[in-house]
Order: sequence, then structure tokens, then C-alpha cells
Amino acid sequence: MTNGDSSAYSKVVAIPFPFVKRKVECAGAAFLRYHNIKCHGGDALFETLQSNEKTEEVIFDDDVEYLRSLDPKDWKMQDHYAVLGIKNLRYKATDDDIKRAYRQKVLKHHPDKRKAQGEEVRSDDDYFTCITKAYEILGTPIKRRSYDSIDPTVDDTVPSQADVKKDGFYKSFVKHFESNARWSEKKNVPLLGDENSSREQVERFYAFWYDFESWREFSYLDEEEKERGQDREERRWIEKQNKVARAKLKKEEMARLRSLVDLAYASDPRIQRFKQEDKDKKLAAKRAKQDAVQAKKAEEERLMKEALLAKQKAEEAERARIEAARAEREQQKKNLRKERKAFRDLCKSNNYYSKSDEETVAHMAAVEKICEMMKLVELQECIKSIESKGREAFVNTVKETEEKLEAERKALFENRKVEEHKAKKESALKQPIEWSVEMTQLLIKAVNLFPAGTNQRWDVVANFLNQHGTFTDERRFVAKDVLNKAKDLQSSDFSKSSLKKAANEEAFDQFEKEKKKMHNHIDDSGISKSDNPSKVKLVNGTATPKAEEVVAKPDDKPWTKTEQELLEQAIKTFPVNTPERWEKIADCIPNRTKKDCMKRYKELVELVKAKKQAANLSK
Amino acid sequence: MAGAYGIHLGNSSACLASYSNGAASIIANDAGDRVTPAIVALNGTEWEIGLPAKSGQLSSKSIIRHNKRLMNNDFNQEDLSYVETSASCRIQNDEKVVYEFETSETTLYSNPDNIATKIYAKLFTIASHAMSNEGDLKLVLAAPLHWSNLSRERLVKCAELAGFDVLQVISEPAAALLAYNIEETSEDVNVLVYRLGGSSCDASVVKVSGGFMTIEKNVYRSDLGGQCLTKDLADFIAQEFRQKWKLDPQESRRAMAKLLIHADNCKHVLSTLNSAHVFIESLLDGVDWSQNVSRARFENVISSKISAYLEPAQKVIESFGGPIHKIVICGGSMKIPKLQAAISNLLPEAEILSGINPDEVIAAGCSREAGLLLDIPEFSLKDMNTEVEFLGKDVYLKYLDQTVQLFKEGTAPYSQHVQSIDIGDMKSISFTLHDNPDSKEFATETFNVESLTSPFTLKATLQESNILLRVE
Repeated sequence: MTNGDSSAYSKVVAIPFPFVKRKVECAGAAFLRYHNIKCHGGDALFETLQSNEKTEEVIFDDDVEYLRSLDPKDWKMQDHYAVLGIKNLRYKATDDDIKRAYRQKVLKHHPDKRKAQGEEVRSDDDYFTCITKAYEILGTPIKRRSYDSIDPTVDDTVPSQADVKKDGFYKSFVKHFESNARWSEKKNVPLLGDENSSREQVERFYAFWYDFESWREFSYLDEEEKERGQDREERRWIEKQNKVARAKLKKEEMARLRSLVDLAYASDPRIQRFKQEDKDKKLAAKRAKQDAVQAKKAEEERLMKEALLAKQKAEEAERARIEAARAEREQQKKNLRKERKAFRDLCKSNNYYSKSDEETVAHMAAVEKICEMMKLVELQECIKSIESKGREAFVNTVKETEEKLEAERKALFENRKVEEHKAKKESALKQPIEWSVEMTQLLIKAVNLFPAGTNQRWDVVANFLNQHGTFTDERRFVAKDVLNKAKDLQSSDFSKSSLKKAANEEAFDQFEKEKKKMHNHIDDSGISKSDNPSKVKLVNGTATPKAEEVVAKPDDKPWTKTEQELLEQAIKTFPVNTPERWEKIADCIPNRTKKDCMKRYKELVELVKAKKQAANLSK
Repeated sequence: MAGAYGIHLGNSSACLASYSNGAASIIANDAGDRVTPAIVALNGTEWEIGLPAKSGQLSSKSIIRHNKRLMNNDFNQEDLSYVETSASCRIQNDEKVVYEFETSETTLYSNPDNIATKIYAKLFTIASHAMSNEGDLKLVLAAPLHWSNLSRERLVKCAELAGFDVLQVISEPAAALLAYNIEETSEDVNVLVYRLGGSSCDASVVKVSGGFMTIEKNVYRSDLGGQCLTKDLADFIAQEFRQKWKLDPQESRRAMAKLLIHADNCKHVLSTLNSAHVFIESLLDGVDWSQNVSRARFENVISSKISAYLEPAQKVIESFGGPIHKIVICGGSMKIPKLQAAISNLLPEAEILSGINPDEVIAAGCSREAGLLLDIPEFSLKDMNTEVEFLGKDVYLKYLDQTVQLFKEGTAPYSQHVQSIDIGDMKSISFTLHDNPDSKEFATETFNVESLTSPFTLKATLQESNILLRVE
């Protein structure tokens, strides 16, 4: 319809006045048609028009000869459409057409009618049965479908490659697609179109056909009817057989359709054109991309070159600058040397501005010094002043130089002095504080005051020492010192420490005294013991502990007060879980063995227990 | 083969129609009724939908009526309280509406979408039982005009959950027009669509021109409905009962509920018969009640309300102003002959259409739309209405000495005009186009028709902004 050469017959006229907009409900046949065309383009317009075209009045032909030739027993093989006289309509016949055709046939061919007309009618196999059978098939939608599916006039062929070559693509495929379109579940099957069909249309066409849903089914060809089965089992078996056969046919049908569409797709000139276009486009895109990449590369290279050039230039400039600086330095040195030489020459020529020989020697030395000290400009100025003023200026310069030298020396000396002082101070600060006896005692006190487990114990201990101790300088204890000392104290052999020595001496004195006393007042020995036993005595008011002491005496020396204190201290210092506790405790107390200590401890424990008991009793 | 179905789910009832062979037919439910009550009840652990829910235990704590009101995304407080009073379960409205059911063991929760899905599922089973062959159930739904797109999508989601394949949602007035094929009339007509349902009322004027429908005016009332009439009738019977037995059924909730059910039945019967017999067993204190209510008596009872019911229609007609040619009545309450008469009296010149049962009109229209849609591949349209550009002026065609009106003003795009032309042996022909038979032409086209056999045809197609002329 939209042939390429038809442009002479169709013209587009613009409408000069505006359209009116109106809101419409999205329902109704008119709207749906409008929407469909709008969404699916112009081709739908012609399609729907075609389907809307009114069919002309149907003519039902009446072929009596054919009807007479029919065998009612063989109804399955008859052409139902031919029987009803709508051979030319076939699948296009509406339900209404079929009904009307059947009515007409009944009117003409009913046995009663024919009998009335004097025709001979065989009662058992009259062809009228064929007419009713035909209507039975075509009048029921499902049965009609199954008959339409295997309509003998359907062209099930697929064009071969040769046909396509001979007739051209459109001519050979149009009629195939049109004839197969009738199987579609969906209506509005897209048409093949022509050379000028848009890409969208072509794509829609192939999408539709590759996705084709066919209602064609082959139950009409069933070998045996299910109803003929004797029993349920047999019927089921027949059903199964039929199902398999139908599935096979359906599969073949789908394969046929597929091959048709495949062939069409493969030989469609439009598809080839589109593919070529795609390819070209891709190629063009690729080329453009490549070009872009190349351009980019070239640009990068250019930039790199420029950068390199700039760098080289910069380097050269740098080198030149360094060279110039070196040259200048050299020049300066040269100048300096020249000036010095000039100065020396000047001095020499003027006999060093000296009045005596000694002075000459001194001045010569001074000249050398001046040469060393002075810079180029100073030297020049100096030369000028000397040239103009002679000796006076020279002497001045020498003096100045001397002064300068002196000042420098002084400054150097001062510096060294300060540094030395500082170093001394630092070294002094670095030296650890010596532990005096008071300090050590203070440390022990602190350690006992802040038992193990105290938060930041050693810092606290160090603080304690710093607060309570007396210091000569600003040096103070830090946690580390304190910890080291404490460890030292713990592990060191007590007999070596001065504290121990002192304690030993004192203990011995005490012992001597005690011995003397004991002979005089036995009772006092009890008092010299720890606080606990004395308290016990006070509470009980009996002499039993004393007796005990006396009894214990033969194998035990009595415990002096200092010893008692030491023991208590040791027990506190070495907690229960300390390894070899009693040895350590015994070490702390001079003149006492481990056994003694343990014994004494047990006694003390008993005493305390007894005291507690007594206190309870008295309550 | 897919079947085309239409459903109108209303506040109080739902109707299902199918379309086949060019005609819509209503599918009756398992109880044989053509309309299924849109009532859902929870009985123990079992959901009851439709009739069993309506006639179930009166004391049940879990009956939901008027669920549709809460299906609207922007329902107001009034709607909520309305549903709350008519439903017998608790409703929570925090972020979302939740129904709370108390069963003997546990408390169940549900929401309006769930309830709507249950109703659709019920209709789905009815439809699939009625269908002879397998295939998809293609469905078109109707939604009230004032609903938003989101609410409609909710409706679609519910129907799809129930198993339907929803093609489109159309507006209720459009569906009503489709049911009567009004849009196929060639001349332009204005139609009043008056819907009076169980608890709401719609009146709209639709302009039909060239197959396209435009809603011109619309009035929606949520306080008018057939339930008020039922209530009036129940009150009337209660009064009779009180006069005779000196017992007041209005004091007992249970008696009143019973009375309402029977009054509802009576009302239905009176729409078709001249008199109805009301028999209520043990209405109050074991006393039975039996009474004959004639249609005249019923009409007398409701006569005071009729003017109120006509008010929305009057309002819409007044605001529209133009002549109204046809009236389509729909909604269950419009079955009442007195109301029909009142509406037709309102517009004596207009033709009142009542060939289809008023409560089935919208469903029938939906099913017709579904039938039309089956022919259209890959249709997807979310909106209920859209803008279309129509021709602003008439277009006339002149050739030789003939003048033909090619397109009328207001013609939709893609319309076609086919003209058969016989020019004898002439080799070429020129056409001129005019917007007025007497005015100057705005375009001239000349065709060389040498190769065509005379008489040939001229096909003119109106396109988006131009006319395509083609000779064949």
C-alpha cells in the first residue's frame, strides 16, 4: 500500500488553523483506535481499516453433486466448509455466516423436505448427516479451531532459498506470513511491509514472529477417539497416545514456523541493510574514537615535548646562573687577591708605615691579619683611606683589626664557658640521688603505706618521698628510682645493708640488756614482747603466758621488742603467697632461724585467738 | 483463549461481568446472585466473603463493610468514622489503616488492601468457575472519578494478587456509557450519569463526540445512599411493631440489626414486585412479626428523602447548563422505580436508559472495555483521562464543481474520509481545501491520475497537524 512510487498519488496538506485540546476518558473503541495509532504508528491505521472493511454479502453455493458424493461414515475426511457451502470463506467466516449457511442447507436438504419433493432418501446413510456433522464441528468454537488447524487447504510450505531468489523477498514471503498470521493468539498481526518500512516496524515484525503464539492444535487428527475406550484404563491410554501425537505435531509446526521466520530474517534485504548501517555506524564511531584517541595522543606528545623543552631551558638557565655565580666568586676571589696584593704592595712600598724596624715586623704581621680579616669592599676602602691618609689610617686600621680579633676571641671564650657550665649542670642533674638512711626508711614506710595494688603505686610512693623527704637540691625522685631502690631493698642481702647492720648492733645491745634484766625481773620479759601479748596479759590478768615463756625458754631465746617489730614488719612485707616466705622473714631478723620465726608466729596467732575468745566471753 | 472481564467493586457490593461475542453478560455467584455483597467477615479462623458474611452472626466482632472507602489513598476522617461505625471490628489508624480482629485465641490484623484482595479472589473463583476454557482472565476495573492514580494502582495490585490480569482502570461514568454503547452514536450527545449506590452518590455529565467521551461536570456525595432508605423502612416497621406490641425494637441492637436485614430484603423485593411480605421470627422478646409492605407504602416512607437524592443531579445539570440527551442510571439504589421516575421527571426530554440492571451497568461497561482491549496488542495506559487534539474547524473539499465536507469540527486525529470520484477521461484533477464552503481555499493539490482507472477513490486522513490526501 505504501509503495515507493505512490508519492505522486499522496500529498500532505498542512492545516492552517489550530487544534482544540480536550480531555477525554481513556475508554471506548474510538479512543483505543486513536491510542493504538498514536503509539504504533501509521501502519496500524491501514491494518485496522482493512479489518473494518465490510465483507460483501456472502453467497452460499450449493453443490448438490458434491453433497451426494459424501459418505456419512467418513465425516472426518470431509471438507466441512465445502459441505456448508462456504468454501471460499473458510477460516474468515464468522459464526453468523456459518449459522446462516447451515440454516439454508437444512432448508434445502433436510430429508423431510426432499421427501416432499419426491426425492428418494436413504434413511440409514443420508448425506444430511454430513451437514449436521459439519455444523457440529464449525458451530462449536473449540471444535472449529481443531478443524481449522488442519484445514487441508492451508499452505504449510516454507519457501526455499531458490524461491526467494526467483521471486524476490517480498513477493515470496508476504503470502506465507499472511497465511500463517491466522494462527496467532493475538490480533493485529504486523505485516511484512515493504522496502520503505521503518526500522521500528521491521523490528516489531520480527519480534512478533519470533515470539509467535499459535493456537493451532492437532486434536482433529487423533487416531482414536477417547470415548471409544472400553474402560477407564483404555481411555486413559488413548488419551496419552493422542497427547504424544499432538505434542509431536505441534512441535513440528513450531519448527516450521521458526524456519520460516529464520529464513525470512536471513534473507530480508532490510535487515541486511540495517545490519550494514549498524556496522557502518559502529565503524564510524570506532574511527571517530580512534581519531579522538590519536588526536589526544598527539596533543599529549606535543605537551610532553614542550615540557621537556622548558625543562631543558630551565636547566640551562640554572647551569648558566651557577656558572655565573662561580665566575663571580672567582672574580671576587681574584679581586680580593689583587686587592690584597695591592694592599701588601702599598704597605710594602710605604715601608709598612713604620717608624722602626720592630714596628715594621709588627706591621707586617698586622698587614697579613688585615688581609685575612677584611673583605673585598673593606679592603678597597682601606686601601683608599691608606693611600690618602698614609700611616695614620694604617695604624687605625691595624688597631681596629686587633680589636675585632680580640672581640671575637672573647666571644668564643665566653661561649665555651657557658657551654661547660651547662654541661656540668646537666651531668649533675643526671646523677641519681643517693639514698640516705632516712630516705630508705621513708621509702619502706611509703611502701607499707601504699601496698601492692595501689593505683600507680610507684608514682605515689615517689610523690610521698618528695613531699616528706628533705632535699639539698632540686633533684627529686621519680617512680623508676623508687621502684629500683625498693627492688634492691627486697632482693639484696640484708646482712650487707647498713640498716641491717645497725639493726643487728642494736639488737645485740638489746639482747645484752635483756639478758641482764631477765635475771632480775622475769616478769618484764613478757612486757618486752609485742603489744599483743601484753594486752592479752592485761585482759586475762593471769600469769600463764609468762609460764609459757619460761617453758619455751630452754630452746628459745626470748623475743626482744625490736625483734618482735622486725618480725611483724617482715610478715607484713612478705605476704602469704611469697615463695620461701619464712626464709625471707628469717633473713630480716638477725639471730633468728626460720624455725624460730614460724614458732613465734604460731604462738602469736594462738595468743590473738585466745584474746579474741576472752573478749567474746567477757561480753 | 483469554476471557474479558469487568469488575465494579463498590462500597457495599461487587459485580462481575464477562464479555464475549459482542455482548456483556453478568456472571452470577455461587449463590445465584448477580451481585455479591462486598462484605468480609472473619468467623473463627475462616474468612467469609459475600453473602455468608452478610447474613452471618450478628454479634460477630469481625465484619467489615464499606472497605472501598479506605482503599482511596486520601480518605478523610469522615470516611474512616463511617467505616468504623458500619464495620464491627476495631480500626487503628496510626500510619496505615489496620483492622483488628479478636478471635477466641489471638488477635489478627489486616488492612484494606488485604480485604479488597479477598473480595477480588472471591470474584476470581466465580469467574474461573464460569469460564469454559482455560486462559488468562483479562480484567478492566472501574474507579471513582475523584480517586488518585495511586489509589487506582492499589486497586490494580489487589486484583492482580487475586489472580486477574488487569488491563486498565477506567472511570465509573465512562464505564456506564460503554455499557450502553453510547459512545458509538454518530451525533454528539450529552449524557447524565447518575449513580446511587449503597452509601455514596455520583452525578456526572459526560459529553460524547465522535466516539470520545469527556467528563464535563461531576458531583460526589458520600452521605447519600440506599442505606438511608433501608433505615427509614426499618424505622417504619419498628414503629408498627411498637404500636402493636408496645415493645420498642430500637432499644435492642440485636433486634435492630435483624430488622435492617429484613428491611433490606423487603426493599429489594419492592423494586420488582408491588408488595413484599416481611416476616421476622422472634424480633424482640420472642415475639414474631409479620407484615405486608406495599410499594406505595414504601414510596410513602421514602418520599421525604427523594428531593435530597435528586439534589446532586440538579446541581450538576445546572452547572453544566447545556441540554442533556440521555440519562444513564446505575447503582443498586437506582432500581427503586420511584427514584427512576423522579430522575426522568427532572429531565423530561432526555431518554432514560435502564435496559441493564443499574447495579450491573458499570461492570458490564468494564467488561466491554476489556473485550475491546483484547484486540489491541501491548496496551499500557495508567491514566483515566488524557488530552487529545481535535480539529478546530470544519474542512471542506472542492473539486470540479463539487463540494464535500471532508471533516467536521472536533474530529479526532487519524479519522479517514473516503470519496469515490469519477472524472471521465481527464488526466489530472486538482482539489482545493476550505474551512468554509464560501471562503477562499487554504490549500490546492493537483494529482496526475493518468494511470488510474476512473472512477478512483480519494482517501483523506486527518493526521496530527495535517491532512494526507491519497488517490487510488
